[in-house]
Amino acid sequence: MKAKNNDLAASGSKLSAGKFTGLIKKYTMVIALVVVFILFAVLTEGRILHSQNMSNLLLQNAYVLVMACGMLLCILTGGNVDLSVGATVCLIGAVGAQLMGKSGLGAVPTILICLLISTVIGVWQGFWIGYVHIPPFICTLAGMFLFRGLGRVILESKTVPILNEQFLDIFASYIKIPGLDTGDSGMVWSALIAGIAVAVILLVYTIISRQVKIKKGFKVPAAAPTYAKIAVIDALIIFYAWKLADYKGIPYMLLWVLAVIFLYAFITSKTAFGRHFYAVGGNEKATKLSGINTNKVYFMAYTSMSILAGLSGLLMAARVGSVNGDSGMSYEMEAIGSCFIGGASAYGGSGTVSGIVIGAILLGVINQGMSIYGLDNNWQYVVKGAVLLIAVIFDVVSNRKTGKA
Amino acid sequence: MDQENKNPLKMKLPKGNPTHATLMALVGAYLIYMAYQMLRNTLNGNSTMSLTVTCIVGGLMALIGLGVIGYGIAIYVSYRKRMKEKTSDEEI
Repeated sequence: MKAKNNDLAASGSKLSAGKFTGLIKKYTMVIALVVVFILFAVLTEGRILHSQNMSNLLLQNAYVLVMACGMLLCILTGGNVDLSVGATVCLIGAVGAQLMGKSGLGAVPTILICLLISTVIGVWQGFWIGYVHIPPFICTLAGMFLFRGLGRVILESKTVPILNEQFLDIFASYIKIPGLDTGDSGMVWSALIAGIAVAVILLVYTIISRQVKIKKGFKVPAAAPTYAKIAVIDALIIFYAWKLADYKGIPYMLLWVLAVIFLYAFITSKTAFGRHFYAVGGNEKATKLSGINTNKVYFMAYTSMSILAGLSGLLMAARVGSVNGDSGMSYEMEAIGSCFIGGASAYGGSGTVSGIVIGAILLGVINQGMSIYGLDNNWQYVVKGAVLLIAVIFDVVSNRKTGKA
Repeated sequence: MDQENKNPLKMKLPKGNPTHATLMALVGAYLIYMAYQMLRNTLNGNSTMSLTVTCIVGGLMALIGLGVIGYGIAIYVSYRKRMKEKTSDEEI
């Protein structure tokens, strides 16, 4: 009897250890983000938590979040990447700056023309990759040189400032509700109210969807961990909204970023078309044999990537206030890095929007933390190199373990 | 198997696909690019790092970058070898 009890206790503790390990594996990147954030909060003596820095964390990484969503679709198709996004950012920024500056065109027509040009770029690359089957690396590498060169020609090798107030308002200003946000308190109450509203909506949605699933007889996870997770997310939302309210309020850039994130999260998780990207990355031959047009999937991945690169170009131009021939340099590496840090597989077929958001925020926290800490430029490169090296070592070790082809 | 045990220099090639190989080559190239940027910053006076430390650390990063590019090439060679073996098996 005693032996049986001991066996039960041993198997119980093994189960708990297994559950704990599983939890760690599932939330590795979230834990890494929390650890890095706490590290920089300590190193910077809390300065990273200041309202202005929390707001800038979003503004400085908005373009990465937008591009990472598009890069995810490319990576899902088989680990393919788009190397031309940085150059597209430069080209679209250049076109926008010159249209508003030299030609005197209004903000809205400029934005529409820029997005149209980025769509044409995407169709061009998508055609060669999807239908002519040129390797994506070759096609987008050529695009990287071509679009960067075109951007520099359009800019006439100068730095062109962006002075159109309407353009800057659309992308780089903050939401202010008259009567609510124009008081003397200094707090932008609309931001805090919006944050609380989002937290409440998320909680209510979780409760209702769980009840509906239980009613229909679906298996649902345990209530306690589900509500605990939502409580943590809600607390973070309200905390961030409070920080935004303490600075200048909700930036319009946040709305653009959230719109792209929600759209791509919906496409990849709730639509059949979105599942096609996973299918192509998982097994392209089987996907083709099952009747899915794989050429179209590749075409759409690279077209959407270029459109998002164009949008990033506009966000970058509004944020910086000018465009030059080096704008967008290395942006592709940040987008690719966010995707892989966020869990996208180099072989394709796996990766989520929520994962890449965590990846992008982690990279953003590292960059901003190093800047606030006052780390020398060269030492920042050393840290980035160390992060890349850790990723390569991880790849070598898992290659040896799984021998995945 | 015996041949491999006798010859310690014959290493097992890593498995992967061309995209994986390309990504490793990109990472290696980026490490070399960052090493170059470090040297440029020091020579332009945009960094407080001394020239000696920059050369040592930057040199190390560039060497690691070359190693990672080599790893990418090894993945590609392994892939081509596997595809060749697969084709010859199918012919049989």
